[in-house]
Amino acid sequence: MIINAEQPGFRQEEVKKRLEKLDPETTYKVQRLVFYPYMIFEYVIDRRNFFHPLKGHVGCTIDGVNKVGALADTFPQLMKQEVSDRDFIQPDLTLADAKERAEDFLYHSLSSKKKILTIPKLTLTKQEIFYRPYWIVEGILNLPNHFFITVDAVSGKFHPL
Amino acid sequence: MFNFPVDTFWYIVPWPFIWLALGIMMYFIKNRDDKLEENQEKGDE
Amino acid sequence: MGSDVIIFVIYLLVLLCIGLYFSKKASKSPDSYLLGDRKVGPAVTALSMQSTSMSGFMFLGGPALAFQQGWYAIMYAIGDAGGGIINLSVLGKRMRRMSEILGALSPIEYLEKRYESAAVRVVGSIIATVFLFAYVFAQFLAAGKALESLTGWKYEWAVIIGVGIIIIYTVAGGYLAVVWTDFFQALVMLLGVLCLLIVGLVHVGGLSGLNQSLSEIDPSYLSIWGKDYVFYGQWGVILGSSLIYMIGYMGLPHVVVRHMSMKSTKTVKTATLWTAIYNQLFAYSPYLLGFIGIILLPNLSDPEMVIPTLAYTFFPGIFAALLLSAVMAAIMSTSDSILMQAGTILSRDVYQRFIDKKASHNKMILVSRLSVLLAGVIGIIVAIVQPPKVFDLVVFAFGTLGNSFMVPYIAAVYWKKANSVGVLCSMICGGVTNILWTSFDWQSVTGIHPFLAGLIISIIAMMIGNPFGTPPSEPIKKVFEEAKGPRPLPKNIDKHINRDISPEAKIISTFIQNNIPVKG
Repeated sequence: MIINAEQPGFRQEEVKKRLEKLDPETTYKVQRLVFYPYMIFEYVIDRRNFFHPLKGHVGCTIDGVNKVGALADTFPQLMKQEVSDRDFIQPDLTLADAKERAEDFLYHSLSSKKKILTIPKLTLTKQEIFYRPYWIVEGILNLPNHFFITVDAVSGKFHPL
Repeated sequence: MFNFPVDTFWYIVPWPFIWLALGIMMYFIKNRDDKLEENQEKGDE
Repeated sequence: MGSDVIIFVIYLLVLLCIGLYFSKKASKSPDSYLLGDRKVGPAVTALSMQSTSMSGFMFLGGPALAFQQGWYAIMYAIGDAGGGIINLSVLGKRMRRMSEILGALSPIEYLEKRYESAAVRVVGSIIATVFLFAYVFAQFLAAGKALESLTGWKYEWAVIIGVGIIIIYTVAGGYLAVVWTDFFQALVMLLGVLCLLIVGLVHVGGLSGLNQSLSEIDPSYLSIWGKDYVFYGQWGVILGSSLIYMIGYMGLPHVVVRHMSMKSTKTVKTATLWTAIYNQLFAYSPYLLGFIGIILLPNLSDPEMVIPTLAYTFFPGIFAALLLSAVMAAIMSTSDSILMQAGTILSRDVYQRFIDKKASHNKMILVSRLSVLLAGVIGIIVAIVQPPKVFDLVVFAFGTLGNSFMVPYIAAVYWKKANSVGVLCSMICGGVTNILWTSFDWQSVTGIHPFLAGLIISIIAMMIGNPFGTPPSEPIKKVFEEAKGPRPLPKNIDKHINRDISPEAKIISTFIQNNIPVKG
């Protein structure tokens, strides 16, 4: 299947090097990529009055499985890519559902975090389903003592599996 | 105390408390291990 | 006396019912007969382990020692009070994991599989069978002795009846019956002894009054060096006395088998807590009763009868009957576990392994039951024809089993390189040392307790023998690592985890496990 995917900022060898620098005791095997679904929505904020502090674009991503929102600063660099079914996770919500969640999330965070007095009007400018690559990494202490972590191939953040 | 000679008292009386403390300590250590185990079982292929 | 017997009979009937109830469940497969399907909860595990470990020795031998030696005897109790906690903490989880991975049912089979050597099984089976039988015969003798003097029955009948009951529910119910009756008996033992102790302490004016009176009789009763300071400065004796029950349990096949039958490794933590509490309530009491006996029973001829005599002299009949039941409980709960173990070893480690490799389930159960029955019959004959001294036999059998098997069991899960040669050396040297040390009374020459001597020799033998053996195979090394349980992540990795991607990590984890597209 062809999907819209972000390009990994961290290559296989870089991930291995980074982890082994942090933890020289362990051998890391960077096994493969798994593509994780997100939906992104970009809005333009309409200034309703002169005093309004916000203007410009605001973006929100929705986790395609957990359905959690997050503010997005920039629109991701996407490329069409061919992947097999074994390598990507199917999203669990429709674009329309996600849009509703994204708007809820944005209004909520704009009003609470950005300390604005009036609710701005948002106009959707872009929406897209995209996939972010995550590395699956096996750490081997001494056989059979091993563990798995996943590394976000774009940001380099990692978490044990 | 309890009409024990001093040395006998210190050889004997602390033990029940030591064992009880050890028992409770082991409980919490094993409890921590169990949680660790649960977390990792999820991720093991 | 008549009503006491009735109470005791009712007690036995209750036990019989428990045994029979579970025997219905037990006939399905050898796995359920021998290990109760590994489904035993924490409280049951802990208490049955305790009542198994604490035999008739606790009611007859322990108080006798206290009666003769004063506070020195409490060293045994101190070890005993911590033994269960140490046993569960050291072996508990790892042994359970390893035995499950190895698919071992009996503790001897477990040793063979871990050390990859049939010789380990042969030597182990011989030592275990001989000394388990010695141990159980001592219990039979104690049962006869207690029943005889408490009910007035003829000794022969007392032995036959007591042993008969033990055999019936062991044979009928298998391990599950043993576990549940043990649990029940642990409660009875605790109650019986605590009641007696409370009434006894009131009689002598509490702990302070007890010590006051003891020092008036002989101040050396209050030292830890024994009456007349016989062991003065002999740390080897003091240490050995407390170590034998503190760590010796880890070498008793019928005690460590409990680790193998636990519900899950998670049972261990709660079992440890139960053990800790039960032991602090129970372990010291029989010895304290021995001290009370020094004051209240100055003319007692047989020190082993301190507790029964105290019960009948000073307390109402109902207490005495309850106590009789508790004494029998201790004896029975030890014997049936040992018989069970001997049955397991003979059926699996001897019969199936060396005689009939393709024995069917039914045949295995039959062999197991027949060997238990046979052990009972031989036991009765020994007890009637020529009764040896009971408690020398117990300490001797306990010490020898501990010295033979403790190092192998601990090394199995803590020393990766441990192999069959080291273990054989350790088993044989440890056991033989204890036998020689006891037989020739080297304790009085060296000031070192036989158990301590056996322990030191078995460790040294392991260290010397091990380099001559072939190292464990790769699969066993793998099993060893797995038995350790999951390890924490490397520190530096753990520190840098980004918690904000944990929802994704969770989904990815399920995804790669199933390798199918996940939905929510």
